[in-house]
Amino acid sequence: MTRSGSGPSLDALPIPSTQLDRYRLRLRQRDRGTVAGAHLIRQRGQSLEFREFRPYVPGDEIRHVDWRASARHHRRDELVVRTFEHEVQTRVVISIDTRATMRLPDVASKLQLARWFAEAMAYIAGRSGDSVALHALERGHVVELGTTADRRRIRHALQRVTAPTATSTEARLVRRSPKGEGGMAKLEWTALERALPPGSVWLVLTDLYFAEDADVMALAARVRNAQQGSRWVVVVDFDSWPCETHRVGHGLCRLDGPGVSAPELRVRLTSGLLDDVKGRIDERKRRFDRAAAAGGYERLRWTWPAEADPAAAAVFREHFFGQGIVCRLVMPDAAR
Amino acid sequence: MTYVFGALAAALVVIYMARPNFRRAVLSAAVFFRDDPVLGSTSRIAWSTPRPTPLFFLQLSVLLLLLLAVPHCPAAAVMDRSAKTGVRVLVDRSASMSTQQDGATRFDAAVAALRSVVAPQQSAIACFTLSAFDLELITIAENVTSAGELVDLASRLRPRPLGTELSLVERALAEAPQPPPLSTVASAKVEGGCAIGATIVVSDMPAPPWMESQDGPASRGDVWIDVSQPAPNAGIVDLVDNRDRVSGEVRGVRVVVGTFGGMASSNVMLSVKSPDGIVRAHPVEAWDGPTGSVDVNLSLAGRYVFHVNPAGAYRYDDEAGIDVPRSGPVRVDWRVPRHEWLTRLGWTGDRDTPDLRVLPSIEMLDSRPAIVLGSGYEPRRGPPQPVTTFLETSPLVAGLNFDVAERSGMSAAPSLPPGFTAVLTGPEGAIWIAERATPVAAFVPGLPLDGDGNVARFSSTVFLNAARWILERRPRPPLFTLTSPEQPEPSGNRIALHPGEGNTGRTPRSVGTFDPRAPRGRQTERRLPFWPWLVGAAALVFLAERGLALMRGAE
Repeated sequence: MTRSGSGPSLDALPIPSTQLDRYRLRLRQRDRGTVAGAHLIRQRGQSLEFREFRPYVPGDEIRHVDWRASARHHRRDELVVRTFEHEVQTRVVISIDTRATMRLPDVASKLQLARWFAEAMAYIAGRSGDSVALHALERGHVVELGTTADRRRIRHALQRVTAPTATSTEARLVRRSPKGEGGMAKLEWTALERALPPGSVWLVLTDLYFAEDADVMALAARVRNAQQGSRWVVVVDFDSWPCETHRVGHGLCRLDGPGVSAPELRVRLTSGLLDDVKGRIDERKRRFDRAAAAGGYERLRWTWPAEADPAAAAVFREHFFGQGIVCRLVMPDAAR
Repeated sequence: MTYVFGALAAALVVIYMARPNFRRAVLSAAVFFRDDPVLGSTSRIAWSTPRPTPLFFLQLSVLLLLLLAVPHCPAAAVMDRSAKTGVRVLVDRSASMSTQQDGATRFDAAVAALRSVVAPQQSAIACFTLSAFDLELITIAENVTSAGELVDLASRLRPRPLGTELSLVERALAEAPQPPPLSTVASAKVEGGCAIGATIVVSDMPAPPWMESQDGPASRGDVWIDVSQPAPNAGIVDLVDNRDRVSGEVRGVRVVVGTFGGMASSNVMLSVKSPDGIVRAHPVEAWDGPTGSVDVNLSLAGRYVFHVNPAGAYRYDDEAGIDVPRSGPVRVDWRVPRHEWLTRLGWTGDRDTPDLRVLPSIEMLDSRPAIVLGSGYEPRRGPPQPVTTFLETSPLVAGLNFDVAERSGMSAAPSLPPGFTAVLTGPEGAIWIAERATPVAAFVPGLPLDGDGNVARFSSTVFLNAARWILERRPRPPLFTLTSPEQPEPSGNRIALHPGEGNTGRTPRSVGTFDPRAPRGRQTERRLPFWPWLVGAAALVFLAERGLALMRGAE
């Protein structure tokens, strides 16, 4: 049982490295010149590697003509050139939402699972020779990890990125202004833009619980813009609603949480009210999808079980390999 | 402190009865509820019966254990500085308190000791009650508010030539309140508006053992202050008369003299001033430990005065005077013939106030001392009448020759009234001699026979045994009386030789230290301390409660 996530300390990722080593990133290659197919390169430092022979076409470099192969070719008037795979180093940027809403629920906070997810992805990417950067969605600063697969270093960087700010402190101390907690302060995108070159992959780990519609739309616009540079944007939607509403139950409540300001919010929780609010949240997310989608966007949903006291590690393990999220991002490494 | 823990226990119950009407619920999506209608004003607290959770019972147990422990805890009582107690002071003013030591009397020392004890504690004492004791315990003043006034009242008292009756003090202390269950003052005995919480006894007697008995006065905080210091003294301890057994005439007196406190006995002299004015000095002899004696022959009627020299620190035993009365003959109501026996025995006839009645028949017997005579003796030459039973311990058969008795032909007693005991019996249940203890009376066969024969001597012995036995038992005026609370001053035969008053050599022994803030019963608790167990139990329960709370928090 874990009280996860909300403090500065980082609980260890409940998946051993040996298990992560069996995966590599499943990155969708788009418009890579002469190279088609999946992301194949594993190590930096390798230059060109033979892929196949094909008939010579005007424009091909003459030094790529394989004369011996051309002699053996069945058509004597046709030259054969060697083609090579490009060494492609994919850039992966993981943005983590660190607002107070991410620090709930107490039993298995969304931020804790986001940390573990980021650590796992950074490790797999690093092992694949891809460059990784961590980005704090709220504060805007970027921590470069390079191609490291050192989990301690990754964890340390995560700690820096997810350290609580003045406005994203402990979820229990949430009687603040709506703008301060439930809403997104004015975001700083400069560092992210520098860290997110065209063709890179941008993972956004968030619950999309923004107090103001404008904040949602601002993030959607940024996601939409990112796709214009052949970037693949994956928004991982951490949805703890089933768990939290199961814990709260029904009846008279003094509702507390990020974005709720004094005086207190007193409600009578009923199934109907919860359904209404859930519908409101889903509608906002659908609007986000509509505003963000531009051909390279996907929103993957990470849903908490409807249990009162789920274990964070169990939730993570169950979802990381068992559902579609990871399948969309990683795949078994055939070389291993 | 008791009230504090009581209030905490009550507050705990209230806390467990109060239940927030709206339970707190935290949701990360709480912000999406902002647009929903907020319920109207409702009381934030709903009351219910205490929730019977294990934590509640454990916390309540801790408080109740502490609530029980606090009244028995000395520290808690000491903390209660605002509580004042009443103090009862019992001052000894018996004759021995006049003993001189260090240039002053013991009573002066008692007043000084009292001042030194109560004056520093004035702030913690609400009131005083002053009593004095010797042969009686008298309350001198009640509800005295200041230590100065108390000492002033005590200093006005003077020792009286009376003895010391410590049982009065013992009874007074035993009647003191038992250790109070909740407060030092709450259950204290109230005397004259003054709630007594502690007692100070000031005396020149060593603290008796019952002071320190289990649950005794010392255990309740009472104090015994012995102000005595050993001082050399020699004095008359007792006068023992020597009387004629039949007539009761005082023929002499043994003057018992004692030495105490290191007084040398070798040169102690007793001077006796007789009625004729002659003073004779006798060395005290027959020393047996601290006491010696002088046998003085009182040949004259009148006043004899005895004086010990050297006297010593205590004055009331230095001198004693007695008046020796002129004794007359035994007065006898003689109702039988042969009146010449009155003259022979030196008695005189007196029918109004007789010392002895001599009666011819049992029917004349009343409650006055009497000898009832049978029909006499008929000495016989034939076979003797055997003695069947006799009461060996009876003085009536002292010196009798039973062989003579069996041949004396004693007449048997007629039917004797209840109360008579057969002393000598013959065949067929014949009672020859009988006695009655109360009222004193005796039955004998007859008057002494004339002549010089065995039977005559036997009959004289029987008669005189009976007369002496009866006359010895008549009340005699004492040689002297002791002073009493009603007549405290020595005069005539009333002297102040109270036992133990002249013993100035006792080792002082005080008990207790006066502390009015200390709760009564503390010393008992020192022997059988119960409150630490309660506190220990409270600590264990508290640990269990914390452990349970921790486990539940971890869950």
